[in-house]
Amino acid sequence: MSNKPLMSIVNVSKRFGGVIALRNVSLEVYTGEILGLIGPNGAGKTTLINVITGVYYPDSGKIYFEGIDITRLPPFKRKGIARTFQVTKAFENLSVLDNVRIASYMVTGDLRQADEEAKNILVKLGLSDKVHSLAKDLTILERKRLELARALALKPKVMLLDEVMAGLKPYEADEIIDILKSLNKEGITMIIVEHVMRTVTRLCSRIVVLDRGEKIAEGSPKEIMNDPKVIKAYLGEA
Amino acid sequence: MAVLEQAIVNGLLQGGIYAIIAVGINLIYGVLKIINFAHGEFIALSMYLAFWLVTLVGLNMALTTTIVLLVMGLFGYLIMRILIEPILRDPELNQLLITFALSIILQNTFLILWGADFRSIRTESISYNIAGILIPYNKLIAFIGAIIATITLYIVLIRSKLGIWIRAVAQDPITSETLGINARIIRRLVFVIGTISAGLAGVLIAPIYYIYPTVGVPFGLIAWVIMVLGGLGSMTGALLASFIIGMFESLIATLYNVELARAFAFIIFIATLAIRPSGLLGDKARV
Amino acid sequence: MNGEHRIKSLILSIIFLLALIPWIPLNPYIHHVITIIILFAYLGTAWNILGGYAGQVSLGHAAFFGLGAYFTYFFLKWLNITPLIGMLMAAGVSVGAASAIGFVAFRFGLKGIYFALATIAFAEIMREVFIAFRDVTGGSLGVSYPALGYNPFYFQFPERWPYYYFILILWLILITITRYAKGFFLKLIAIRENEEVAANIGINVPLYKLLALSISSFFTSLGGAFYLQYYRYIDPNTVFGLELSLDIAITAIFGGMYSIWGPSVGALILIPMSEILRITLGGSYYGVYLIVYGILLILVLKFMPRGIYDKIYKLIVKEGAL
Repeated sequence: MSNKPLMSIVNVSKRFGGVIALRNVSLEVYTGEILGLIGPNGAGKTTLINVITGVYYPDSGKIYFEGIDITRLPPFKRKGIARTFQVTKAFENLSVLDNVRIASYMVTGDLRQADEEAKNILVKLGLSDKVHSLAKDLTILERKRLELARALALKPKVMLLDEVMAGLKPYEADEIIDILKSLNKEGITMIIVEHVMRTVTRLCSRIVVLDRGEKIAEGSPKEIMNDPKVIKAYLGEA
Repeated sequence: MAVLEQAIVNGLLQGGIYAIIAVGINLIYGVLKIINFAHGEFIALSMYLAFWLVTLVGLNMALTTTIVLLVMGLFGYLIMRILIEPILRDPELNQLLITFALSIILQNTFLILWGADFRSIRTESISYNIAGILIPYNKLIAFIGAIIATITLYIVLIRSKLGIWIRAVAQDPITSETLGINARIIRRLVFVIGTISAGLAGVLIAPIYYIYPTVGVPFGLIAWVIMVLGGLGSMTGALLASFIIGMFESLIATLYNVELARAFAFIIFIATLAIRPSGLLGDKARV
Repeated sequence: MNGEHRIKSLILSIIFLLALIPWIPLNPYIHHVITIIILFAYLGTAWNILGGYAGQVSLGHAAFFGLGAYFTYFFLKWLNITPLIGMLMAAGVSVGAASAIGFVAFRFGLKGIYFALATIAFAEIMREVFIAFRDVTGGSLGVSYPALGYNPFYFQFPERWPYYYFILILWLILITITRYAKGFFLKLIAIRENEEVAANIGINVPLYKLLALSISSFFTSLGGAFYLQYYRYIDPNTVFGLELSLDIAITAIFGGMYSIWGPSVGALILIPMSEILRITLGGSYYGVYLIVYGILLILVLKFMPRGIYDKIYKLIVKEGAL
């Protein structure tokens, strides 16, 4: 098994007006790993996610996925990549089943098959009793699970999770962590953007740290936690 | 060559009338964020009122204007309380369709009450001849009246305390309330002012146009073209756009025909919506 | 699911009945009203592909209707092409125009009320242009073409019933397409519900909006061609009119935008209502019908925004009343 990365981000920069959101960021994501992406507020984490999914195109740099240059592909053409949003988004007035079924249909192209797969995914994510509820009537935890279900329905090779723990109580977050661990075991690579160190250390084998648009550190959780640059970024000057 | 100058002067005169219409509708949109499809019918209503007061009752224009403005103010208040206030929080599209329904109701009320015949107010039709350019008396008066009204409104909005309150509610109703401004009263006042300005426009143009149930429709539509071109919420933009459209329409109508002039106005409308939705002078944030 | 089954049987019976209408000896006026109901059911359903399913409410659909009517006329008058083919060509013109406005609107991200306003402007441009070129289009006075008696190749019949079947079949075709292209319509629904999520799951949003608009305009245009054949007289203020655009949109909204049968139910209620009021009140009291219509519209928009069909459906499916 060669160690070629599943995804390569090479020297990506992005600015919005006067604000430099990303400055020459490079990193690699390997198949099967759970990569943590952390950094203080405004570090550029969500921007990086948006560039990977195609919401924005970078001003310079490239993004490779499975060896293919996807830098300037429109979002709907980037197959194999799924993401969740910081603030959960869904088809509010449709049922939970429809929400997942549509995503499934996009990948399978067959309505009956989409229906079945959607139901299976919902069982796996513990939403089987909410199948006919409308998305807007769910609790936050259920909405997060719905987002994961929808992402899963796309049969992604890599999932980008943008602050998926936001707004959850510790025991709820633990549930999500367990779900993510089991999904990862099934072979889905993940990039997890997080604030909460506890989540990151429990899930991630490797961590990349961004600060003010630049990558300042990369390594195992232990290395990161002891890195003075990281500590300074989070806490300011000692 | 005199044809071109005539067209320009006509355009200017027309622009003045558009200005008072646009300023009123802009005020309403700026504060209430509602697209009033029936604004043209407000103009038509005041045209009819002016017609009846002058023809039936035999009043002079000054008295007529005063009465019409008062009636329109009351009318605006009633419409605001009965129809507009309840729908302020509804989806925009519903608001649009509901004001459209209002315009249908008004048009047909005119039809039932006063019939489909074309009416006109017979007034002195003198024209001044200045350097070979004809300026009809009625149009000149309308222009002057509109400009005075527009400037007055403008000054009130920019300089007076009331103007500050109005702009505060337009920008941020919730914060305004915490500062002690009664947003509900301001909103009602704004709608009434908007209706009165439509009323004034109607009185001013009543001597110039034929009056019939659907006379308000083209005015209602062109008002929106002007609004979008000027920038939704921008008074100065509305003024600027009024004259641009007035001139533009006049030039094309003179060179070709009036329908093409209107068609071009709508093309500008679409282009503005697409390319520069904030209009000439509006805030980018708004759209 | 007994309620669902009942609805299906009800619908099938109604369609069967409709096919038999010309054979039932009725006052020709009644036949005419039924034809108009089907026409608006058809137009509303076509409109709804864009408005209800894709969520892009257009208030300028008369543009496509008028193009269909006028170009069918032009192809007949100048190139002697039978309307049977001419109407398809005219529909092609319509789709071209739709692509133009669609490209501008969707590429520049016009949504919601701004899209609606742009469509109003678009139809108005058509109306004014067609009046302006009076030599070609007859201006406000419109154009007509003479009855050619019995000439099926040119789609000319002295009786009315062939035209009735024509619009009935068009309507049925449209309904069938919606039933069977479920995947396509599912994507439109996703766009309607949340464009960002739709893009996120792999839907090419601008493309599908354009497709919805094109299909909608194609069918609307055929409706215009029908109108030309049925009345043999068209004028820009009617066929490109804001009133017509709003009638079509309101039929769908009033009946229910969120289901396939909604617009047809809307036509079923609104058309007879207008005719009855017109008969009982006559003359300049026609205005009363429109005032009632206006008030009704306000009430529905305020209190029943999902339309009549939605309410009826919930009643029937829940209680199995039939």
